Amino acid sequence: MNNILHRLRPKSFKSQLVLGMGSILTFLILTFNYITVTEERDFLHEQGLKQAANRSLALAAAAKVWLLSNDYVGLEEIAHNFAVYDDLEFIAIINMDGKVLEHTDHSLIGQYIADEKRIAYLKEMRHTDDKPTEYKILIDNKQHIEIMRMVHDGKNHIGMINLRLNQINRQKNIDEIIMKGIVFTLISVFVAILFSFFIVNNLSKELIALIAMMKRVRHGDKSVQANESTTKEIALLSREFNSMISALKKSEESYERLRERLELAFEGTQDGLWDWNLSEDSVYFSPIWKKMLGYEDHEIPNKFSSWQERVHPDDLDNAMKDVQDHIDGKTQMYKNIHRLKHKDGHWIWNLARAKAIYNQDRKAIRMVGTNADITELKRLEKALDDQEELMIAQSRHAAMGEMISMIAHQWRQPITVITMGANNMLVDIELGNTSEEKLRHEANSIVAQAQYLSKTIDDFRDFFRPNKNKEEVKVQDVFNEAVNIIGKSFEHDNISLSINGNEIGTIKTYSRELLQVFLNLLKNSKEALVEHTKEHRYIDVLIRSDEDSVITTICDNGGGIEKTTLEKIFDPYFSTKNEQIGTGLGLYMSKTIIEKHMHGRITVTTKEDTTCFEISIPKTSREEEKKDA
Amino acid sequence: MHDIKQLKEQIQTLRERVKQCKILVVDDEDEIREKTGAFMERFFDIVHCAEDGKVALDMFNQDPTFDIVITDLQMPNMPGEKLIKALKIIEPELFIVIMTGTPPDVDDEYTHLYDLCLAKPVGVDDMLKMMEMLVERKKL
Repeated sequence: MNNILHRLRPKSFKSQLVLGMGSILTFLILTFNYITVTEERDFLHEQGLKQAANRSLALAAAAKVWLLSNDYVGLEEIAHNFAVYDDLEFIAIINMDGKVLEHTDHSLIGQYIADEKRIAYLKEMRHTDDKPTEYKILIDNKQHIEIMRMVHDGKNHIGMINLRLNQINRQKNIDEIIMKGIVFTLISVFVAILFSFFIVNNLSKELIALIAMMKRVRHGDKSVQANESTTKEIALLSREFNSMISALKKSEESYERLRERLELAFEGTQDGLWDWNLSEDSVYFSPIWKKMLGYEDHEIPNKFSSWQERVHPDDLDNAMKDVQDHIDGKTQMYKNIHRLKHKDGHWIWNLARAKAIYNQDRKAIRMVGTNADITELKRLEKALDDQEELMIAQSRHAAMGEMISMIAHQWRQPITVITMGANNMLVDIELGNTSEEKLRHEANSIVAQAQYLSKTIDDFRDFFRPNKNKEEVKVQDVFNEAVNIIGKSFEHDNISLSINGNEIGTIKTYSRELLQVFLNLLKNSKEALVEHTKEHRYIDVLIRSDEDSVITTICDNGGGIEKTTLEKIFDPYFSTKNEQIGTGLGLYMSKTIIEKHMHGRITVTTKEDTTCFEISIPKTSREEEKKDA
Repeated sequence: MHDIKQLKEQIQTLRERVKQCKILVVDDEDEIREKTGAFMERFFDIVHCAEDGKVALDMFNQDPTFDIVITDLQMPNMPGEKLIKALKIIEPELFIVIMTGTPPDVDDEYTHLYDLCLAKPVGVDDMLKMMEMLVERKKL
C-alpha cells in the first residue's frame, strides 16, 4: 500500500504544489457552483409550484360563481381565458361527484374521473369542508406539475380544479444554468490551475536555480552565489546556501592542505600506503606502494593475495602471525620487517606498520598501514655489522699483540732461570765439578720451569680460543684468569690488587669475551697508574650480585679522567695513549661485548684521581627470557 | 760453537782472575736471584744477594767494597734505575751490569750509569764476556 502511494505521489515539488493548489481551487469552485446551481434550481422549482398554486387559486375563485350557478358556458369561458398560458397542458373543472364539467380537451367533458388518486382525494375532501383553500400537488417532476384544488363556497367544497402545467421551459432554464455552471467551473479550474502554476513556477524557479547551483557545486564549481530572493524562506535558504558554500570552501581548502601535506609526506618518504577491507578482502595499494615493487598502478590487483604472494617465503609465517596478532587485538600495532619481491625478481626489505579498526564486537574490519623501503638501511646495517666484525678482528689483533708482550714478560723469568741453570751445569762440566746430585737438582728445576712455561701458554691459548657458545662460569673465576695473565706485571709496577665480593653462583655467558674485557680494563688501570700515580697504586675490585645481575666494579687511583675524555671514552678509535700503545678499540670493544653480546651494561665514573668501571651482566640471557615467555 | 777445550781454558782463566772480586746480585725474582748467585759462586769467592734496590743500597752502604753489582731494573720498592744512580754517587768507579728482560733504549738518560746491559735470558757467553770486561776494567 505504501509502495503504491509512494509510486503515485507526485515526484516534483512543482507538480505537487500545482496539483494541490489546483485541486483545492477546483474543489472550492465546484462546491460554489454546485450550491449556486442547486439553489437556482430549487428556486425555479418553487416558482413553478407557486405558479401552479396561484393559477389554480385564481381559477377556483373564478369558477366558484359558475359552479354555484351550474353555468357551464361560464366555466368554458374561464378555461378558455386561462388557456392562453402556453405552459398549460390542461384545465379540468370537476364537480364533487367526479364528473368533468369543463376540460380544455372538450372530448373529456361529461366523463367521470377514473384515476384512483384523484378519486381518493375527492372522497377525502367531501368530508373536510372546513379546509376552504385545500389543494394537493399530484405530479411534481421535471416535465409536469399537476395540482388539484378544491373550490369552496364558504361552507362546503363545491368542486375541484385540476390543472397541469408544462415544465419544459423551466427545465430548459435549469439546464442552461447547469451548463453555464459547468462552463464557468471549467474556466475557473483552468484559471485556477494556471494561476497556481504561475505561483508555483515562481516559487520553484528559485528553488530549481538553487538545485542547479548545488549541482554545479557538486561538480566542483565553488564560485556560485545564490541570488537574493523576495520570498522570505527562499531568501533564508539562499543565505544558508551561500554560507554553506563558503564553509564548504573553507573546509575544502583545509582538506586540500591536509591532502597536500599527506601527499607530500608520502611523496617525500616514498612510503607505500595500503588500506585493507577485511570484510570484503579487498586492499587498496597506493601507486607508490606498487612503484616500490616496480609495478604500474594497474599491474597489481587490489587483493590481499597481491601482497601475500610477494612476501619472501622465510618471512611470510612471521608476517602473517604479526598480522593475525593485531587482528586478534593482541598487539597495539602491527609492525613487521619482511622482504617483498620486486618485479625484477630481487627482494625489497620493507618495514610495515599498520593499525586495525575494530567494530563494536571488537572484530577487526579494516587495517590501514604503510610500507617503508628499508633496503638501503638493511644494507647499511649489514655494512655496519661488517664494520663491527672488522673492529672486533682489529681489537683481537691488538689484544693478541698485547698478549704476546705479556707472554714475553711471563716467560722471561722461567727462561732466565732455565738458562741460568744450564749455565751452571755448563760451567760445572767445564770445571769438572759435576755431581749427580747437582745435575738432578738442575734438571728438576728445568722441568718445573718448563711446566710453568707450558701452563702459561695454555692460559694464553685459552684466551684466543674462539668462544662461540655460552658457558656456565663464575665471574670471579674469569676475573682470576685475567689476574693470572696480567697480575705479574702489577707486582713489578708496585700495584696492589684487592679482590672482594661474596660467593656468587655461575652465569651463562661468553667467558673468553668477558676475559678480554677484564684484561682490557686491568691493563688500562695499570697504564694509568704507572703514568699518573707515584705511590700507593691500587686497583680495588668488587664482585657482587643483585637480584638479576652480577656486578663487577674495578676502581683505580690512576689519576681520574677528564670530562671531555669521559664523553668519548667508549668511541671507537678514541685513545689518549700514543698510537704505538693504544688502538682506541679497547673500551669500544668492551662496551660492544658487554652491551651487544651479553645485553649487560658498562659505565664509568670518575672522582678526583679515582676511576671506576662498573660492569653489570644479567644472570639470565635474553634468549632464555624469550624462551621462558 | 765453542771449542770445548778453549772454553774450558777460558773459564779457568777467568775464574782465577775474578776470584778475589766481591759481587752483589740484585733481583726480585727469587729463583733468578738464587740461580744467578749460584752461577757467580762458581767464579767469585764472595757473592751477596739482595731482593730489591732498597736492600741492595743498604748492603752497599754498610760495605762499599763490592767490585761489581749486577741488577735487574723492574723491582718493587726501589727500581734498578734508582739504585744505580745512588750507587754511582757513592762509588763512581763501581762496575755496574744491568740484567733485564726489557733493555733500556741506548739514548736513555741513565745509559752512562752502567757498564754493560745483559738481556734476559743471559747465556754463558755473555756471562763470560761480562767477566772479561771486569778483568780488563780492574786490570786483574
